[in-house]
Amino acid sequence: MSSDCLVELKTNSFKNPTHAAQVTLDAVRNLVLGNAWTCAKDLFNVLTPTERCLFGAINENAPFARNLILRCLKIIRDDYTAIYDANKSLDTHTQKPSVGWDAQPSYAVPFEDLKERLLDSLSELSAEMELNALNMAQHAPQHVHTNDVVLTMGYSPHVELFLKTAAKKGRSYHVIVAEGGPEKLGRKMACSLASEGVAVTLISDAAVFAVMPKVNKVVLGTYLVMSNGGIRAMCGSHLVALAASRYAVPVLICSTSSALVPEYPEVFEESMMHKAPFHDFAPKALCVMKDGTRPAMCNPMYDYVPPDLISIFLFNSGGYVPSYVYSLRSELYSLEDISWIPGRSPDGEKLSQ
Amino acid sequence: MVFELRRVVGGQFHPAVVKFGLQMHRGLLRGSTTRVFGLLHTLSQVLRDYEAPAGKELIRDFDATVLKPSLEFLHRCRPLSLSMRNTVEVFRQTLFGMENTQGDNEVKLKMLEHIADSTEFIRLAREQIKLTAAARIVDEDVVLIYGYCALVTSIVKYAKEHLKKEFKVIVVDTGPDFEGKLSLEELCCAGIQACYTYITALNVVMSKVNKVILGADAILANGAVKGPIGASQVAMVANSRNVPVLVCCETFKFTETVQTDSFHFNELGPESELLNLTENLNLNPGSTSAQIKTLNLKYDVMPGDFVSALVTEIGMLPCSSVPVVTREHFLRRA
Repeated sequence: MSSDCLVELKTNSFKNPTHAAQVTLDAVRNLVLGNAWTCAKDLFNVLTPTERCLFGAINENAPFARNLILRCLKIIRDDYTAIYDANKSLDTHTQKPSVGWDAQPSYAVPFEDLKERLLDSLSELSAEMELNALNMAQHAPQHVHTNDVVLTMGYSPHVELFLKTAAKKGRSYHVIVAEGGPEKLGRKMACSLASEGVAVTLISDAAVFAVMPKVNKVVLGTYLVMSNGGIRAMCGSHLVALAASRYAVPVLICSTSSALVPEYPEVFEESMMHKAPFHDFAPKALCVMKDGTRPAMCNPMYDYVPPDLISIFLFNSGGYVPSYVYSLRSELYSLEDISWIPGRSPDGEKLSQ
Repeated sequence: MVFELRRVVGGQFHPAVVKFGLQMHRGLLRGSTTRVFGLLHTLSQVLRDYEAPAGKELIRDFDATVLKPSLEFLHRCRPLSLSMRNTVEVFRQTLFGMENTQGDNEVKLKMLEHIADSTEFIRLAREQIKLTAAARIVDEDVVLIYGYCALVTSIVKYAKEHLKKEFKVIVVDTGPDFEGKLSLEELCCAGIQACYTYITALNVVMSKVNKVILGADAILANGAVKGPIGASQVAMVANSRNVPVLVCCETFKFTETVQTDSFHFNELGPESELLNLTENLNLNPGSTSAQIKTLNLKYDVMPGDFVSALVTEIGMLPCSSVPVVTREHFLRRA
């Protein structure tokens, strides 16, 4: 039974990042509510394989489900340790005092109040997730001022919420929206912002560098945030960030902590070239080579923006500089769960596993 | 349209001027060099048919009653590019340099000769640039080109067809015009291995590129390159990855103007190219489209430090050499 409730996660039918996180959280809560486990270790035995399975998943929303499982694993570890320590201190006088490091907890001791405590923590997490984007957008009035010119590219629900919040707080400012790739989702963004009464100017992707001298701030959304403070974002983000750095314009990344993946960018290098469908801009049959073959087309979905082009991350929990993201990573995830990942640990050593 | 413009500018125009103006207005002449050729051809036709009224001096009368209003008309059809302004300036300098020449016919003949020379000069310059730049392409290169520039495609084709180099070309394109499709078509016909991509993917493809070749509409005296919109982004990303950027440009496009941003001397495309709200949007277009403005710039100005070298008919130059070359040109004419 216990693994059944996670089957849905492995089939990857997530609609969007929020949906992925919600479905995962529900599944984990059902798992905890069920009777298939007696100690924390049993939970790990179910969750850890699911997490690793999601790591390799093709679905673009799978990382959000995986991040949530990692969060849950951390919660289970913390709650277990808290109960374990509380029980230990009760009969501490009967035990030998420990010296130096405690042994790794085995997570094998069944505690009766663990289930209740876990359910509490999970509902706390659920409440946090619901308010994630709203909390992030609360920072908007600090960053967007009246008469500012803000540039963004394409469509991102977080950026939309951020800019709209600023407008609602009485900031009257100007937004320049770049179309954002062949899909031109920037037009959706422009319409949405205009309906909130924001002055919007739509430009083509090619004009980003040309208008940059007039811009005060660049606000971008992102798909994932890497542990080094780089982002994997919509294709074209690098271009915007690079133009901004040329004119010393601050680049703000609106996201939530659920987009923070524990990996470093090199893990993703190979899977970087996810192909998006070629929609309307491919010159269809008109380009056939002499030998009948068609020219290659390259339409990557994501871009990697290195941390040195980013000024500030705006998460639900506050604003962070890119170099601090690794610390957030160790706050949200437990090193025991992520140490199997190939790549470097925060202090630059190669991890043994 | 023509009648309206006639009314605004006043006066009658030579049919060649009207034809050329309409061609420019409808965007039939692609590329600034094509338009310079068109301008020179138009000028020669106008001059040939011109007869100075009795008692008037040909040079001054032609300049005041024919040349100036015609250029004004053309400018309203489509703003004259910097290279066209250059051409006009040289034309007028040559015209006024003939004040001592005897006989109207003599002046006309000499001016027609000047136009023919200028045309030939540009043609030869392009030929030379083609040779110089193509020699820079070596086997196994990956060359990145942007949009459509007749000179750049001719360079790439020459390297393939005459120098027999084996290389790949990445064509980067952008909306709303998608001129890169033309480049891709030409390259495919020439049997060159080409890859097509959108401008947002620049960072991803740039890691594989080892040469960027761009065209230009004008080179400004501060070394900035005026090119099609987006060219500066291509150069910027190339620069960030230390990929050399070659800008191919004839020296007649070197100008004495200086500019540090893209807003002056630019052209605006129609708003509808960017904002076509009726398609694929479920939002209410009537209420929001009024508040959305568009900025459909056609040119941008690339800072000179993005450019590794200018390929010109007088050799490969750094951008800082532009004022020297324009001065030399000026001295030679004087």
